Amino acid sequence: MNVSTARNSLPFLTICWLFFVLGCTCFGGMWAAMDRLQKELVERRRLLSIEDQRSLMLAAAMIPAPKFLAFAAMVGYRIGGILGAIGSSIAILLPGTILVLAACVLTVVASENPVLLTIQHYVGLGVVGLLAGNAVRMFVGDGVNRRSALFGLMISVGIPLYVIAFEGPLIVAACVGLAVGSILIRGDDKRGAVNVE
Amino acid sequence: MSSDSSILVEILAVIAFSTLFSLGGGNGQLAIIQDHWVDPGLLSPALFAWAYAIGNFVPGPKCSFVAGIGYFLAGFPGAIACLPACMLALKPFTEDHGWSMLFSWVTCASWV
Repeated sequence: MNVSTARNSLPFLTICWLFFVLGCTCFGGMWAAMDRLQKELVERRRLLSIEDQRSLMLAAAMIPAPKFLAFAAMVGYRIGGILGAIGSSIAILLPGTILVLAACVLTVVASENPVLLTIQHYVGLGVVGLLAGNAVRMFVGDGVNRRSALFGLMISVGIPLYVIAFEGPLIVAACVGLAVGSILIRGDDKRGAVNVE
Repeated sequence: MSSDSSILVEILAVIAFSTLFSLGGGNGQLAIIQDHWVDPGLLSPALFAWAYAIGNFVPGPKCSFVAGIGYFLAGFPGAIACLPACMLALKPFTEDHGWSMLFSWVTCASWV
């Protein structure tokens, strides 16, 4: 990716502020925030074309790094060079990090508080529900190849089974699951269209 | 190197290494963190789960949960160490240097 291909460039502080605001307002990860990102980066500020945004999002999903952070870094690099990439990555990570930190400090400070323990319990349940809901939506959603869904299900069940039944290292199971999934699970064109749009 | 700084270096190295497993999503980090700190008993499973749960609820990238892991392991310096650690893996991709990506993999692997 070359800086010279950028449609626009922004001052460093503006880049930081833009991504800080996105970091405060985008929930649920990069794909869930796609509409919000499109509205801000493509329609309002005209920093990217819609095709650029989609290709950067796909590239971010393929990079071995957190997707949203990778997307922010690539957009930041495009509009502000290497400093822009660093600024955008830090700025988008900062709001969530501060909130996580606040919650963790609270946990340590008020570890015996029954109200906090109740909140922890329900937040835990909520996350399990959130992840399970996402998994179900992905498995039964339109355009999902049944063969891919079946393989995904088998890998999802196989990893914990291997770890629990054979007491094998989780890292080995995760790496094998990643390798097998990369080979066996292929998204078809229809699925790709659903994801991008 | 004192034990304080060595835990910070360890956090930096392990989190940077774990981000390399975040292909397609941030959950790849979990296995590395669990293997390195939860299983040996350095971090309780309840705190690990709590940090991850909060990371899913807050806005922005879900990988922000690593700040909580860093905090539980080494206080505020640990949390701060997690920020650059998350971004180390990104640098090669913003510069289109395939070799530096390979280098960062090898470096992180050797740290761990």
